[in-house]
Amino acid sequence: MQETLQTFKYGFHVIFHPFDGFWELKHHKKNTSSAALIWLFLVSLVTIARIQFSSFVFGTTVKEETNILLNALINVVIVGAWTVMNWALSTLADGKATMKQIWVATIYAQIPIVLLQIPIILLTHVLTAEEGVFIMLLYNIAQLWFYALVLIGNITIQDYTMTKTVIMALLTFAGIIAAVFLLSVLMSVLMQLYRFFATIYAEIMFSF
Amino acid sequence: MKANTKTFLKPNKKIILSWMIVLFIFILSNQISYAAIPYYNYSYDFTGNPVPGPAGYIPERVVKGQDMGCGALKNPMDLFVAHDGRIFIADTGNNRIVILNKYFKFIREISVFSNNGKEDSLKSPQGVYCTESGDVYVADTDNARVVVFDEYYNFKRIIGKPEAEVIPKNIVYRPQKIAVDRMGKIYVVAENMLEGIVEFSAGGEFNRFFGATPATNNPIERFWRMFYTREQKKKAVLFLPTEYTNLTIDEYGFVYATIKNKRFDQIKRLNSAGKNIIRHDGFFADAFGERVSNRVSPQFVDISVSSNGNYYILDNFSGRIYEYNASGDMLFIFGGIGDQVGLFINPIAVEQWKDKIFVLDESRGEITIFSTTDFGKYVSEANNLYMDGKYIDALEPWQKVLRMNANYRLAYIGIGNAYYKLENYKEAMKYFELAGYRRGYSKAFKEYRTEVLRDNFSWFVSAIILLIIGFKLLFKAFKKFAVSLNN
Repeated sequence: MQETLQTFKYGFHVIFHPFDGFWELKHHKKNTSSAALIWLFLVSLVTIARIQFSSFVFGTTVKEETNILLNALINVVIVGAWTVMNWALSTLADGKATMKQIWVATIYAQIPIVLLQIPIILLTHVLTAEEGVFIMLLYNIAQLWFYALVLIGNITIQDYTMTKTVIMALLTFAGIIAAVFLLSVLMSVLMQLYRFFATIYAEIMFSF
Repeated sequence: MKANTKTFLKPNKKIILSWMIVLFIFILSNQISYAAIPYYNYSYDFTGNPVPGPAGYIPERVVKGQDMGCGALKNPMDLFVAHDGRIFIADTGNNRIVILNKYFKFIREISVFSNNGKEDSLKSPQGVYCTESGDVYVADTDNARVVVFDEYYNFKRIIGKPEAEVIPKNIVYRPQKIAVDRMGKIYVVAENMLEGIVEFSAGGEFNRFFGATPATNNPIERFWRMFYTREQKKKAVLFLPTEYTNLTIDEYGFVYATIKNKRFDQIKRLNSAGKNIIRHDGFFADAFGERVSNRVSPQFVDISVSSNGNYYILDNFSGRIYEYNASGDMLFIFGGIGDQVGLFINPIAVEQWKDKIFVLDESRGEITIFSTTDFGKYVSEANNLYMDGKYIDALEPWQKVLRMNANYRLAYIGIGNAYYKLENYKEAMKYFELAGYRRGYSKAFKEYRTEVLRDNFSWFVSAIILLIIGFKLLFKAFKKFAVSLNN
């Protein structure tokens, strides 16, 4: 527990000293996956908070039509897909990271989003629509910081060069799209199979 | 108890008789028959979903040619109501213009007239317009001309095919709809005239093409055209602008025009330079008609503008009439396709006169008259005040509207604006939020924020000072903590 908390707190170090931080995270820190789970939970929490507590001026969603659970889970799914794809591709291109390490690094890269989302939510209650540029600025900073951390994390744990990391990231995106396509095909085939057996069952039931 | 149930199960003859008498009286007294309104009544909420609401307009009655006293109408194509309430119908199939008084009683018809001593007649006239001075302009479609009659319906003059270098000589000129502004300028929507509305001077000379719709230039199409041979280019369809279907002129002399077969920007309000200055609520691009996307684009065939700037547009495809106010907020939707009273088969023209809406059905040769309900009256009262900028006066009517239809978005915005004017910003914010109107909310919030800051100025200043001190202390503590961590 103590070690998990230590690793959790180490996140603040990682986002300011990424090269050093991710290296430590990979090689020396203990209980990284449970610490990462706490951070992942916080990302989801912040996403929910954004939907629920942003002021009306900056709300982008219609509260009545928003599924909070889905919004909270979507981040987990994206991180999961990224992890699996990145691992699958990097093992072919002699990456040095395990799936767990990629998972942890990606989640730690999201820490700036957690940290900056809270002032953003507070600011929405103080600023008017014309002053919304400040919110956009903070949001963009969080996004860029996140992308930079993902790249640096990947460089560090995979032991890649910058160009290779970028190429691998693009390939990972392509892989995710392909995987989503294949999954939807699989789903539709399974549905048809199910319907086929359901029809046979119904035919048999009705004829006796 | 037992006896009671028995009498209930087996009612005696007296009771049956008395019930029958009551029923009979009901049937007799019910001279005005009320039927359920045959179309859905709805408005759109801020999420773009249709929500039910009470009717703003209900069908009052249907008038046929026989009721008017002029025989059946045959494929009538246009309807016009003059300022004094006279009704002009372009009875296209019967080659005549029918003129009725405001009670829908036949006054006379124009079909054969004396053209400088010679006998002349109309041939499939598709459009009619009556100016304030009483001149009647008829788009005599198959004769390729516009015929003008004076206030006693006597022949005055003919305005023939426009002649100019920009118009090809061999083109068939078929004037369809016509409108005349106060200066006497004549605007004609004609078939094959894709350059825009044909504008004639008061003297009948061709002036210019008016309000030309820019041709849509598809970049993908342009890319493929680079590979076309000369033969292919000749055969390929030209990038033609869309054709106008109808037009009308409002009090200020702006031309309102409708366009068919388009999803966006179908209604135009053109100033004298031919520039579109219509206002739209900006909710769903510049699309008019339904907000739920349809696979078939609406076919707007007619428009009518009332003196307060509200306009009614008629969609020939769905058979619905949409009412908008001058700033482009949708007020009411009514009508539809079908056989009952209040529905149409092929609605072709819409006109309004003193809270009544007239819709002409081409296939049936009938005019359906719609009248406003109480709800419609409240909305129009509130809207008129609101459009005049009398937000505070509009507060009460809007509240009345809201009591009858809690789904009416414009009422929330109206009340919000009233509270804003009354400097009750908190209330204004509440109503703007209910309307889903972010811009208004932000505007009210700005004032509210200033108010709060001014009222609690001393508190804020002391809080800021405390915060600065607190941050300094916190920073020191954090530094200590960081040092201890490193060790």
